[in-house]
Amino acid sequence: MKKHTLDKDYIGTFLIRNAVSMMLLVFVVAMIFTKRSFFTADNIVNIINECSVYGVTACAMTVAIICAEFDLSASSVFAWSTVLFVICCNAFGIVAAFFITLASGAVMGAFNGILVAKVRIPAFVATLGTMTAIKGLAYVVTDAQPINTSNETLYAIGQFNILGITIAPIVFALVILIFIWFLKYTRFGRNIYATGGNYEVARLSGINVEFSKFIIFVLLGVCAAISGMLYCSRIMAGWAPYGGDLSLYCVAATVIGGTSLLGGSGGVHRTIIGVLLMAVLFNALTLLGVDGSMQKFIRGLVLITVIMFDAMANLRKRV
Amino acid sequence: MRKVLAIVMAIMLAAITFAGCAKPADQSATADAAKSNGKKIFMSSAYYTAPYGAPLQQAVKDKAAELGYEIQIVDGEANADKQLSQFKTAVADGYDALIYWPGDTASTPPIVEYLNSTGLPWVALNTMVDDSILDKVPCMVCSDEVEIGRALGRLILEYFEKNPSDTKNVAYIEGSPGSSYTTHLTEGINEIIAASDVVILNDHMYSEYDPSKAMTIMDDLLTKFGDKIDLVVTQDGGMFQGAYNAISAAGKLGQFGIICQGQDLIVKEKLESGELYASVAQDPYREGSLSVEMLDKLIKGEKVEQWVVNPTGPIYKADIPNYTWF
Repeated sequence: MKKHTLDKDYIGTFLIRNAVSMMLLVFVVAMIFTKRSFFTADNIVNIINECSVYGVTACAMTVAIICAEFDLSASSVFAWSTVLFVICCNAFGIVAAFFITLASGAVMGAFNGILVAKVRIPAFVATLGTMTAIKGLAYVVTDAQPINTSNETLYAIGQFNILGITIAPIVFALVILIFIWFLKYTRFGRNIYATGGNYEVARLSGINVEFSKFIIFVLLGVCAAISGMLYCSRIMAGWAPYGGDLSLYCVAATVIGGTSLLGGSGGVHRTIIGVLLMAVLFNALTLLGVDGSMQKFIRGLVLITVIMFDAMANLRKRV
Repeated sequence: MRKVLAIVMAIMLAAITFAGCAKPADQSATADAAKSNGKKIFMSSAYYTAPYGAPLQQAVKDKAAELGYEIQIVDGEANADKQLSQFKTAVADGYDALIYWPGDTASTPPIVEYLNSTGLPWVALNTMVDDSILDKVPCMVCSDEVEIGRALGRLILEYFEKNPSDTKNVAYIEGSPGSSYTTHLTEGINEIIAASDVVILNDHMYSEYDPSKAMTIMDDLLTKFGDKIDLVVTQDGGMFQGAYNAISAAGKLGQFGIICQGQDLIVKEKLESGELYASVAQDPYREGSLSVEMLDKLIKGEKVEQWVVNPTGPIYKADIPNYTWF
C-alpha cells in the first residue's frame, strides 16, 4: 500500500516536472492528426529554421538565469550587431565583419558584466540602461535608417542549406552542445549553478562569484551578436528596431523550458524544449487559422500555465 | 493550495484548447457575406497592433468576405524573419494568395524573392519595397508618402497665407525614426517649404506614433519655444491627439494653428470644431480594400498596375462627409 502511494507521488511529480515536454508532445500529436500540412518536411524545417536565430541567445540567457541574473540589453546588442555587421560587410567584407561584430558583442557584454559584478548595480537597472544606450547608438550610427547589404558571400551563406536546414540551426546545435558541455562538465559551469543557488555560500566556499557573473554577460553579448549575424544572413539587412522582443523571448523560452527564475537550477537542454514549444505553438496557431490577436492571447496563456506548473512542482518539492 | 493551482491550470488549458479550436471569425464572416470560392488568402501584417492597422485589416477582411475568400491575418511584429517564416508556413498549408505588409524597406528583398519563388499571386501593402526589387513586385498598394508630405507642406504655406504673421515658425512632431512613412513625409514637407521663409523650430522629435509620447514632446516644445510657435504639425491623428491635449492643458488652444495627417475620429471632431486647420487624407480602409481587389484580379489572371496609389489630398471641415473616419 505504501509502495502504491510512493508510485503515485512519483508519477505525479514526474508529470508535473515534465509538463512542458508533454505539452509539446501533445501539441505535436494533436497537430499531426488535425493538420495534414503540419507534419511535412517543409514545415518541420521551417519551424527549426525559425526558432534557431533567437535560440542561440536563449541558451546564453539560460546560463544567466541559472546564475540568478538576466539581461534586458540582449535585444539591443542583437539590433546593434545587425547594423554593425551590415556596415562592416559593405566596408570590409564578411570575415572582418564577423570578427568585429563578435568582438563588439563581447565588449558590450563585458560592460554589462562590470556594471553588475564589480559595480554591484542590479542587473535589471544596469541592463535597462545599456539596452537604451546601445539601441540609441544603433539609431545614431544609421541615422535611424534601415540598411541592407548585397554581399554575395553573406547571401550564399543565407541560402546554404542541407535538406532545407539552413546555417542557423547548425550554429544553434553547436551552441547547445558547447553550453551543455560547459555547464555539465567544467568546474566553471558548476560554479555558475553554485553562484545562482546561493551567492553568499558560493562566495564563502571560495568560488570567484564576481567572475562567474561577469562571464555570463560576456557570453550573452557574444550570443546576441551571433544571433544578429544569423538574422542578417536571412534578411540581408540591419536596423535599430530589429529584435525588440528578443530579451523577453529568451526569458520566456528559458522559463517555459523549466529553468527557475530563482537561479541555481535548470539547463540548456530544457531551454531547447521551451524554444521548440514556442515555435511549434506559433506555427500551429498559424496553421489552425487563428487570428493574430487570439494568437497573442493563447501564447500568454501558455506561458502562465507553464509557470503554474512550475509553481506546483516547487510546492510538491516542499511538501 | 495545490487544489487551487490545479483548478486554475485546468481552466487555462481548457481555455487554450477552446481558443485554439475556435473557428476563425474571418471564416464565418466569409460564409455569411458571400458564397466561399474555396480560396484562401494569407496576410502577414508587420504593424498588426498599430492604430492604422486596425481599420486596414478590417477592410482586408471585409473585402475578402465580399469576394468569397477565406482570410487569415497574422502579426508579423515588424520582424522580417518572422514574416518570412509565416509565409513559408502559409505556403506549406496550401494558401492560394498572399498579402505582405513589410515592416521596413531594407529587409524586403529576400521576402520578395521568396514570394516570387512560390508562384502564388501576392501584393505588397502599405510600406514601399526596396528600390532594388521594385520591378519584381507584381502589385504594390500604398500611398505616395512623399506626396502626403507635399500636401502637408502646401497646407503649411496656405495656413500662413491665410493667417499672416511676422514669423512662420513650425513645431513639428514626427513618427518613428527610420520608418519610410516618417522619412518620406518629412522629405515631402521640406521639398515644399524649402523655398519659403517657413522655419521648423525643432530638430527631429519622434513620438513613435504614441499619443502619450507626442503629449510629452509637445509639452517640451511649449516650454522651449513658448510664444515663438505659430503652427504645430503632426504626422498622424494619434500624435495630433497627444499634442492637442498638451496644448489644451497649457491653456494655449487658439494661440496658434494645428495641422495633421490622418482620418481618426479625433481629427474629424477637431476639424468640425475648427480647432484643427486641416488634415491630409490617407484612408487605411480604402488601402486594405484595394489590396484585396488587386489580389483578386491577380488570382483571376487579370492585369493590374504595379503601383496602385491610395489617393491623398487635403481635408477641410467642409470635406468631412466625403471621407471615412475610424
